[in-house]
Amino acid sequence: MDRQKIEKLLSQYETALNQSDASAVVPLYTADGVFMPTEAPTAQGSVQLLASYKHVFSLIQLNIKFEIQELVISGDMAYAVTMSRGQVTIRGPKITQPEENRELFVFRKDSSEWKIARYMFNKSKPSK
Amino acid sequence: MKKLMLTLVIGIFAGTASFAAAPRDEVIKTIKSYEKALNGNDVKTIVGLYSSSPVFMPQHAPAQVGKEAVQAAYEGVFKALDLDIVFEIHDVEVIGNTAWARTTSAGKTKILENGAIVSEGNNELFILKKQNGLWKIHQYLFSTNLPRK
Repeated sequence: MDRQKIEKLLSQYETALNQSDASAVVPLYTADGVFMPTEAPTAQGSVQLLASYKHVFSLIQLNIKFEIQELVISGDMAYAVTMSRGQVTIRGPKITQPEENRELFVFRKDSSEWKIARYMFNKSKPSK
Repeated sequence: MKKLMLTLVIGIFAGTASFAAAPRDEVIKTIKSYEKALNGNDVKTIVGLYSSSPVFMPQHAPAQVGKEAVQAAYEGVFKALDLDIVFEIHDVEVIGNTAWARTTSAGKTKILENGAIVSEGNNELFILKKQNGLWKIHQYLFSTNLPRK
């Protein structure tokens, strides 16, 4: 049951990313949630999360799919290693290119609902 | 007499507590040992800090799965770089035999090929497992938090 709830949470996160919907991303995080994007400042808490995702979505449009490689649940905490693959469009010059990232999520169950507590990603391919 | 007994009992509990380190402190100790070994190019210690089935996910490289792959990865890192960094521990949460920690690291890296010294700034997420009474790094991912030049 917990596993299905976390899978659903990831699916909601994927949809919100692909729709560039910052206000749909924020409630998927815990109140003290932390997003650590690559090459950018860390965002903690609803206000910073909203600003950070709005900034990301002003620059790029994502069309990606998450694949869960490992999901481990331990009481009210869980973690997942995922890969996301698809395309990213850079809004300014409208350049579309392949996008691939590897993610590590830490989840926490807050009053029976699973949320993203900490999240970061990196690229597994050599830097260009 | 009652008061004396109570004092004795509290004394015993306080004594016990001071011997058994809190799990959180043990996790911090593992991360501090990792920092020291990283700065000391000490592959053997680093590999010992990882769990029996670890995954190391450095940026711009495939996941290194298992002790042998982790060892080879760090040998490769130290052939190319000399690190001088400090970890700041922001969060540690322990649930049973699993824990996670969020850290940032900052400092200088010397690129051995040309002697250049560059600034280093990373975010890290560690997943740790308690194995044979010790907290070991089980999954570990880092990524730069510095803007691209």
